Amino acid sequence: MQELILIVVALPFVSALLTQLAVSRLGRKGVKVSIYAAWLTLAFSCAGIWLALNGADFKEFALSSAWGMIRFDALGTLMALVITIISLLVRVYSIRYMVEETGYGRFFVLLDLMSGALVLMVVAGDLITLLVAWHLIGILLYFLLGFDTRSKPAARYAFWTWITYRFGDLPLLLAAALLYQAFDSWSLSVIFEQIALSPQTKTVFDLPLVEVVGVLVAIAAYARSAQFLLHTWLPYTMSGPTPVSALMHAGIVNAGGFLINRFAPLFVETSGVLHWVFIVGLATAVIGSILMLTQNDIKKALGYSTMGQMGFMIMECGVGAFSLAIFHLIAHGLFKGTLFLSAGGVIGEARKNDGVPKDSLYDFVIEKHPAKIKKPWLLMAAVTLVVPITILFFAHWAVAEDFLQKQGAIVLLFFGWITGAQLIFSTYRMRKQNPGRLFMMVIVSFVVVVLGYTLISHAFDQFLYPDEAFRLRLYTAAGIDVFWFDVLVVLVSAVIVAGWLRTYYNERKAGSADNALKPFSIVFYALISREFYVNDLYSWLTRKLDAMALKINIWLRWI
Amino acid sequence: MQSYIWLLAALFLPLFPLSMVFNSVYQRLSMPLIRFVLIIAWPFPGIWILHEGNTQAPDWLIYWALATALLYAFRAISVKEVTMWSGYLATSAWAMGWILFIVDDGVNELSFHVLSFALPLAVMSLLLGELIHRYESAYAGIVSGVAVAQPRLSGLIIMAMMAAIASPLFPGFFSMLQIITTLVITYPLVTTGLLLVWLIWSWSGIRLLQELLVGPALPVKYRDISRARAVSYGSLIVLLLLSGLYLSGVLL
Repeated sequence: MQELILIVVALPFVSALLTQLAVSRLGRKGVKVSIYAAWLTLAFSCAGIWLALNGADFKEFALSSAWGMIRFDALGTLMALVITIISLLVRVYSIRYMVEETGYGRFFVLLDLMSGALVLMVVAGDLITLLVAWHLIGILLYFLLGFDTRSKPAARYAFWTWITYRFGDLPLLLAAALLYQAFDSWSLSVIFEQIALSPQTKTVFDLPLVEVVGVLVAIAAYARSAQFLLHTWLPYTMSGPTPVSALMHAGIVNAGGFLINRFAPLFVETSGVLHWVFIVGLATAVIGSILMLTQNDIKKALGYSTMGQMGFMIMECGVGAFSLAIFHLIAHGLFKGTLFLSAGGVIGEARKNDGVPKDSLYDFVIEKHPAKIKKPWLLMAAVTLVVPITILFFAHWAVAEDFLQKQGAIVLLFFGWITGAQLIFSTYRMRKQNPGRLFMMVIVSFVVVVLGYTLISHAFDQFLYPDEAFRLRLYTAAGIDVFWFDVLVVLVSAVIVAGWLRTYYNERKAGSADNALKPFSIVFYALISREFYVNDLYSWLTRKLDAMALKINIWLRWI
Repeated sequence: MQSYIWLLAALFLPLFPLSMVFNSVYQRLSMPLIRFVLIIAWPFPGIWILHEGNTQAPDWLIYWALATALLYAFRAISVKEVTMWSGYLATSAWAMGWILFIVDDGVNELSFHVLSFALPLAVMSLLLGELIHRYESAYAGIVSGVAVAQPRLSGLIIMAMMAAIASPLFPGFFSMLQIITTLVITYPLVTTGLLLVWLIWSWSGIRLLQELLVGPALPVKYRDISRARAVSYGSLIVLLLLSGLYLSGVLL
């Protein structure tokens, strides 16, 4: 029965071919083929995940001797289901949304091909198939983003995506070549078995193979998931059609998290790579969030929001919470997909009615009038800090009593704490008729979210990595020395508490300017308004290289 | 005597500065069919000389070949004329053949490698003939908006370009994969250089493509190519795909 996975891979490609034929004969009605195929693919994906949940064994299918291997496993079936759901929604949405566009049929063919390439990537059983799918996704995304062939900005930003993706393809290719040379096989199963047997294998310059390959795989993941310095394409690719933005933000950018999970048997043997992954993820999460908050263009803000979320996902991998990263990417995919697909409706509604109520919320958000605070600020500061940490602590304790032994869990606890505190603080600032009721609603929502998140991520852990010893080894691989970790925990706790107390204090003294920080704030604002000059740097570099190539060509008389 | 053999081989499997001969000849030709033949035939005397020479090439040739591949890939960035770009890409790709020849000592594989890049560029030369027939130029920027005006021709040019820059399932992809896998342990820095060459191909190729295809349609003398012609060229592209799949079985 595991053969079902072959149908899930093949259907979108067959659909692309049939859709092209149907459109050339029937016109726009021909895209129905793509929709029916998407429903059918979803049905087979559901059957696949049902099999995996019922304990069907891992199985591989070889389509040829050298490559073309498809694997049936928990991670592949789960990701295939997510991809088929999102691509079905995008296709159904596109039926009406794209109807006035020229190249209507071509759009559906490209969507079919993209779904096929994405599914192929998640179920690839060997490195060549993985590389082929990985490359194809970049190519297809370029053509989807540049779908409107009259629009030069769309083509320009599609090119940014293209070149970043190509940059990310190459480390993965290098990693594949190194693994092949070390173990004389392209098969992922064989390679992972060999790594488990001889994790100390050396490679070029007598370096440890797992560390070198781990770094290369991580770089490939960074490019795909828009990590800092390789992120510039993401906020600028909004010139493409909205369904493509939805597919990209909900599915394609998540590939980095998937890739790290796919190579989990390799990362478990590394000693320092995951720390680096954590740092890059953390930097991206923080920078993405800061840039999101300072945008005045809603679409760019959404782009930076995705960047921040991707940073968070990569950071989860960096602390050893691999399955949590998968849960995160699914949750974010559904949430962000919904946002993009509802954007058209929101714009339509906003054209009729700006929908901004001129009440206390309007005063707070638009007019920037702070709410009057009547509650004792110290009490509220204490509640803000204590409530989320208590809820998070008990939620984690409910699924694993020994969670305090896992450094990764504690790091995530900290992030949950900050998020929860931010939520309660926002409530504190809002002026409402019944603040007590609102406050209780927020806390109940927070409990539901945290419990849901913790329990579901625990279920993901059991499903994706059923071997408890392996899970513990992942956390160990991501861990640092206990003494330094404890020092960091104390330090970070002190910074958080001090930060929140200061925030409350400032809020209490609302209206009086804090001049001590002003010059620094202006410089910082200038920096973030130019998006840390990363785009400027790349543009300058491109111009210089272009000019240099031109100069050489003139010297050599263009021959 | 041996040096003359290497020089002669470097003329046909072009290494800089001898590569200027090929590029000069290629740019002067105006008939697409002659370009088609030249781009396929040019490297074969070089392969034959290497085969008949039956001697081990010196190691330093690897670095000369890498420098040539990098130089022509880099120069291609600022090129706007697609025929000229094709010549540069061919030079850059064929130079890599030397590296494969020296490291792996396989003349048969060298033929596969050379053809895997020559064939897409040969198909491209035919398509450029169609483009020049319609716009009297293949200069990106002067010619633009081809995708709107000539959708069939544009689709075919896109596919040929994808094949030329070694995209997956086309023979160039598997050829590059094989070179990189062969070199990665013994020459890691050369491998990194080759990956850089590959990246620059993608950069210049796609930039050229979008300057040519994107934008509002320009007034044009002739309509898009006929369906029958599109099917003929499309069959060549399908053949390229099939040869890529075949090559993956031979090389990997």
